[in-house]
Amino acid sequence: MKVYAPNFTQRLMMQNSEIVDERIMSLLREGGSHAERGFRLLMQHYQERLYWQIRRMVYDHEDANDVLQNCFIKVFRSSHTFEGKSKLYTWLYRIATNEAITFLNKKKQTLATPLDAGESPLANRLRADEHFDGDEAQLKLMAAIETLPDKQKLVFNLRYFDEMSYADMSEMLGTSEGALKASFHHAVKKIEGFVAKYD
Amino acid sequence: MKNSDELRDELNDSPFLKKMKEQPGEGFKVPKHYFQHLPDEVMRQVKQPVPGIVPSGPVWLERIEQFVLGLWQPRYALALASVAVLVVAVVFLKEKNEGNNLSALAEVQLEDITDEELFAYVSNNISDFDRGLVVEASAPEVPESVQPKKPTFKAEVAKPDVEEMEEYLDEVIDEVDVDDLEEML
Repeated sequence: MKVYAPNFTQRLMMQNSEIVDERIMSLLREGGSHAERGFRLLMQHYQERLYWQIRRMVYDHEDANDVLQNCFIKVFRSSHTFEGKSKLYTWLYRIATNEAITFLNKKKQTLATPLDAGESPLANRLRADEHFDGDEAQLKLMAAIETLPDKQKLVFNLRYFDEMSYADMSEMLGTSEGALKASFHHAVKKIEGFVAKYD
Repeated sequence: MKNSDELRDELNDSPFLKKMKEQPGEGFKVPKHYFQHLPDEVMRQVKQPVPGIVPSGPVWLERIEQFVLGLWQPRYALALASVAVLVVAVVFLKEKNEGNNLSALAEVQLEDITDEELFAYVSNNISDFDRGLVVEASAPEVPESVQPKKPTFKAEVAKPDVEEMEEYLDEVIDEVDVDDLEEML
């Protein structure tokens, strides 16, 4: 998997997210060339996290790339509307999620519930994808996640892969923490049941 | 407890997910240098003019425009309307007050003018005054007894007493200075 390890500056930035967010917002507010610098910093800081969130929803790299670029363009053009009431990254995640959902609705991507985990349309599609080199267990996991309802899938991805806290998720999705915990718990049980069934 | 520790606890019911979480990656790949080139690609697109949208003016103009548009939000519009009403009320009251002061000032000044000054002014500008009014003003008061009575429907018009009338006219002639009369006329 060709994912590049973050360098020292990037690691430092990730550890001090709030400081970076403040710097980004301050540059964006200044406008002109400062705004461009701020926007570049925003992209460097969040592009990977947003990319993987989108990729897990749309699966295909080219689709994820289109959605992410649209997301960033939207962020750039509406950055003046961000009031700072929520965390910057929950605002970005919300925009990225909405963009991905809009994209999927346009594409009318209907992946029927598979009869066999190994032969699901998604599994076949991923096998043919040059940007996917996962093993059978990873294919099975993707197929299992695909069977979840949209909202449950989103909650599962944010918690399982991004390890997002329930508090942040609640702020982003406007759902109570209790409901999110229950949703994740049901998703875990469904996936385990799916894997057990087709093992 | 950290998020990752909490998550591990939440996955206790699912050995499959717990095992998969230990594995690095998810099977997805990205093209080489993708994340290095993405910001430049996005910036290139951001700088392209949006089709159908007229390019806007300079940044400061845009900010002024945004500020003015912001003023039309209900809360600001209400506040502005209140301020406008207050300003109009203050201006109106101030003007009214100034008008009162002017008329008071005029009254005070008229009182301060002496008879000599008034006489000199009227004499110098006599042509501007109505002759009838001047004569009327300079004439002594006519005794009520010599004034003709107002005609009524029933009563006959009272004829003034000839002797009294002659006396009155003599008095008027005596009082009026011939030079003044000539000058006035």
